[in-house]
Amino acid sequence: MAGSGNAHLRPEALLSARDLVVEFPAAGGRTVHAVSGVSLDLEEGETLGLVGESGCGKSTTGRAILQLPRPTSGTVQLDGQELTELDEDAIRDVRPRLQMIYQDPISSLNPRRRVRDIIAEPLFIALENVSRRTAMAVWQDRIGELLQNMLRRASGVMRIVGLLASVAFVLWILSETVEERAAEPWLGWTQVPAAVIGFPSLALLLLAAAIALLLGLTWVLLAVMLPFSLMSRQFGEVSSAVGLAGVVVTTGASAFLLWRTWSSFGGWAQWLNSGGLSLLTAVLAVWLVLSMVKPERAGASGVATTLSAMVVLQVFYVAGLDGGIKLAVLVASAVIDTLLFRWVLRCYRANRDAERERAEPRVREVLEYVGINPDDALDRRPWEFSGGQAQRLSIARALVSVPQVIICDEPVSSLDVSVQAQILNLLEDLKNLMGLTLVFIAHDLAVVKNVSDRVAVMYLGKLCEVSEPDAMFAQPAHPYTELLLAAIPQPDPEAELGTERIGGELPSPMDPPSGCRFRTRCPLAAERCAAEEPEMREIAPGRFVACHTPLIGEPAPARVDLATNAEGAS
Amino acid sequence: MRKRLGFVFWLAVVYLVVLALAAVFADVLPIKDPAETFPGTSKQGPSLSHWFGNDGVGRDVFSRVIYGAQVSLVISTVGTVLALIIGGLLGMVSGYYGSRVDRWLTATLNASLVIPPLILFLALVLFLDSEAKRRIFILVFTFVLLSIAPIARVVRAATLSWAGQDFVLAARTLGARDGRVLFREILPNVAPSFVSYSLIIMAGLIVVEGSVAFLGLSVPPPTPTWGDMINKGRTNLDVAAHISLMPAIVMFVTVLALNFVGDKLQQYFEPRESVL
Amino acid sequence: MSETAAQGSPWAGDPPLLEVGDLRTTFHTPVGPLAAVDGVEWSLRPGARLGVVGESGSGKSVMSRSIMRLLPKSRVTSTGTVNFDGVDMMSLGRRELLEMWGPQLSMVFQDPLGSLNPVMKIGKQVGEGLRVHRDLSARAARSAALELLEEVGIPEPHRRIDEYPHQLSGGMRQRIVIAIALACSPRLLIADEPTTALDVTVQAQILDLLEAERAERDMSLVLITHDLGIVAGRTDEIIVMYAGRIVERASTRTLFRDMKMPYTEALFRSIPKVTDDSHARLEIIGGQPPQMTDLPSGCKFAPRCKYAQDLCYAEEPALIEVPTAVPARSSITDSIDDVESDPAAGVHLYRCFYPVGTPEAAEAFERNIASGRVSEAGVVINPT
Repeated sequence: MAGSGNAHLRPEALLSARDLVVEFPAAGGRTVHAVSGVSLDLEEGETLGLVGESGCGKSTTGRAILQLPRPTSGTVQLDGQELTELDEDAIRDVRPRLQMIYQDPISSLNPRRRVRDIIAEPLFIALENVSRRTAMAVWQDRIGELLQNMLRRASGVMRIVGLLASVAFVLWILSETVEERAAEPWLGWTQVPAAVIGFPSLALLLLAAAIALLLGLTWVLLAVMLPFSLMSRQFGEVSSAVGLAGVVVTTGASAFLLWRTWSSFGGWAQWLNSGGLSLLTAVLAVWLVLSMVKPERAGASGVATTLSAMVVLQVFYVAGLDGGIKLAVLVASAVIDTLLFRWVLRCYRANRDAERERAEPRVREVLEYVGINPDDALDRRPWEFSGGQAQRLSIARALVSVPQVIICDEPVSSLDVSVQAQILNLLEDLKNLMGLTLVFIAHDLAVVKNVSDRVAVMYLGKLCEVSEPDAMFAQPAHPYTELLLAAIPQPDPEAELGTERIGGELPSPMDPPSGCRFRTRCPLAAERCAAEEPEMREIAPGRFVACHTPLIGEPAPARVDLATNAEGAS
Repeated sequence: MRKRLGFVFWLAVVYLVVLALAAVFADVLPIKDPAETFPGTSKQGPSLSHWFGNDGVGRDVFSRVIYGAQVSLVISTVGTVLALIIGGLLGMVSGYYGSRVDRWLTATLNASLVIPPLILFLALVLFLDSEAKRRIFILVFTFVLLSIAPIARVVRAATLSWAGQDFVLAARTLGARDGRVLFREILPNVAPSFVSYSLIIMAGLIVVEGSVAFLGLSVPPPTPTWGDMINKGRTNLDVAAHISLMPAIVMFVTVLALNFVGDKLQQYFEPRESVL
Repeated sequence: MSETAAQGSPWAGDPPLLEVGDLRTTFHTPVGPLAAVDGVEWSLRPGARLGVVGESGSGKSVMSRSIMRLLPKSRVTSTGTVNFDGVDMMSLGRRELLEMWGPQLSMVFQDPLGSLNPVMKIGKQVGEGLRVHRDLSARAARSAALELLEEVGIPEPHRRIDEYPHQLSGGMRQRIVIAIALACSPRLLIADEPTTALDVTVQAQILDLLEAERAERDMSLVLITHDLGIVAGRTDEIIVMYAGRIVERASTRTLFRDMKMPYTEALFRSIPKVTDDSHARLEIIGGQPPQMTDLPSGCKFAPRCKYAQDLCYAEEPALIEVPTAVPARSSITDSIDDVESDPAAGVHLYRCFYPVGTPEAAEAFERNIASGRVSEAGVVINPT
């Protein structure tokens, strides 16, 4: 009965989990023993069915294999690589090889995103994770990319003019000297909003400048310490030089701005009045450039926020000017800002579209695999699909990163019978086509039998029986398996309704029974079952069971001399 | 099946946009100087030359309402945006990470709800701004401080329910980092609820400014504010009700419009339409 | 379609408990009217068990809600007759309905958590109906609730009665919902997908419980599900629904022995069976259920049907009756009683030009394979 042991494990497995234990803390300092020593393995191209009632820990086992959350103890090896010892970063790189399909297809797809983005997300994530790891290279690439983008994008003269004009604008503001402005009284009410914006955003901006300074300094230090030739071999000479130059300039600029801020600091009022606004604008400009370096990372909203803040500051400048020139400057800066906005948005869109474009062929291919017409589906959102179609999308997302193992967590339980058949056939086809290895978690034995090469029955965090499906279903070895079989509804009015039912409730996983965990509901339970936990053992070729008195084969050799309930075995 | 926002929604939006534009460009618009007193027009009712009439000392109520909108709008937008950013972040972090982070944040936020807003405001005014030079900072600061907790709670609740969805788990099994999960998966789902909620907070802040003005503690004269105008008009309520009434009506309509737009947006952004 | 179905009252002596006649429920959506239930007719004898089978969107749930009069008031119209033991349900007002719900008709829904009040103790929820309908005191209602909990198999009812729904497992919650539905001893219980959210083992327990209670109280039961396997052993008669219509109706044994409607056959074949070998290919129904706002003109199932011919696309077949083979009493090990509880044994209605098992159907299938419309495995290749 529900017991431990590793007799059923094979040496040549693609995925092998040994003695998995998952425990959660519960209220009152108690512990939920969700999975207590489960060992499973999968050979390449095999489907393992994992069956049990809800609350038996089958889903938790699946997630523990994915390290989400990590198991309390035990080991998981994928292709010889030990997953439980990997750090978070390394695990992220492994995850694309280990995918999952969920019970509720609708809730497993983000309702706000379009199908094209949902399916391509694994590719984007992989890209991001790879680029993060080489953060230095990315810093450099960002600047290089910006310059390239600028050249490529700034096809119209207007855009160049716009850029030059805004640079000139910033310079003009910077050129206002401290003395000039210090003579005026501070904070006429027209400047009040400027101060309001300035007060909190100043802190943020100074922080941003300081971070930019620190990052820049680190980079420069690194660059000095590493031989330049080493970098250029890796990243190409030109882009290294450009990157270095860019960073030096940015660092210098932030240092200068910080210094100016500090030196002119003398109370908020004086500071704001004496060129503080100029500084703010300048810092914003730097921030803007930094976020434009990789707009798709900063996000359109990030760039837009920065720009808006700049626009607001401009307005306040304008408000402080004398009447006559006011309107002219206002209109001019509005034009400049509009151009800037459009330019940044275009860069952002261009980057996003390029990313999408690169991903699209793969997305289309995968959608076709799962039987969804990409032309119809790409721009729709998940809730526009029926449950069965959404489950196909979920499968497509799992396939896009070419996984080795897919864990299917009750993938057909919430679907209509007719749709269920479609999904089961699809999984079978994909498995044959792509050589997938599947873990198929379900509570319906008939479904599990249909897809599996090997079936493992779980009860309350332990394994009961592991066997070939045909043999298991013809003659179950574990009393629990037999009861599960009896519960399957037969689509035949003349079939006997199984009358044997599992009585009672699943015991609490916070306080599992001693010995065999199934003994409290087992019709064959004997004294031995309470005292001694059964070990997994082979009772027939390819059939493993953890039970003292299995329904077929010999009773377990007694370790403790207790009366065994042998007459229960048949 | 396209959802419609309806005519009233667009009416409210147009009203708010016009009001905001008028406030921003008040300086360059051909309206009267809010500080100028027109001799002999004291307490005069609405007329062609003075649309909303004149106040007790003969200033143009219409232009003062427009200029007053500057203070109201700045306080409410800046206050709300800052509260939204801070409260939203705290709420999301609290809801997503759960456990210890959540406990500490929730405790702190709940503690901040205990502070009586008026007393906090009075204390800040007394200690930091007895000469009323930086009153608007103090106003915004207090408002932000007070709106963080309610916003954070709303966002936390929304985050909690979305973070439990399978697509969040799916993103994590794909190897996504927490930042990506928070901003790409959860934020787009949470945002509509807190953006529309923030419009309602915004409306609330406009009203709060009005009540603070009643204590004479809002932005000091000569800057006009709606609350101040209503307060000053009180003495003439029997002979010239329009002095209080006009700013009050504008304030009422603005608050109503904000609430309405917030509500409608929330309905609009509901991603799943009810299916049979 | 309705004129033929009207003949379906083969038992003369026993007046039906529920008679549904030409029931039509239409939702008025922004894209036009949606006939969720379109001319459904059937009747139910006291104590009988009816299974209603169909995919999601086939109108089976809307039908049950129309009968219960549980539909929202706005943008829905429901016409036809629903006669419950001489009472015309369609003409009842709000107050009269409240008196019907509970002692006369009662319903169990799919999602047990959703149909329980999360902030009310279980005992109170179970006793509520009794207090309203039987004027019981709080104390009496509580003891009656306790009895009910015990009856539906809740372990430790004394402790559970003061707990809240979230403290129970899914199966236990569904037992509570059943206890609430049974509290006033209804004469008809409609169970709408009562086990879809549950495990197979719990499903069997819940179905056993429903059957035991039905037998004990001599109550009628309507069991709505998408799974033919569930209704097979537990109903006397089955209605198969598709696109808001009844497409086949027969006694359970007749239906499984001699299904006429290709849709029923396809539903049956798509169920994975324990008796099949592992990796056995499942037969599937290609395509999706039809858009209810934009139904095809002929037979609604034609686009997904492996037998469909031009005639099927052009004209909608009527619900016609076949004289079925006499129920093979001898082949079943049952008693006379058992056969008598099979009231509609003689009626078998279906809606098809090429009924399954006839030479015409076989020929149509051959033709479809030859024309490339259907694959060898019997799946429509390009269902539209």
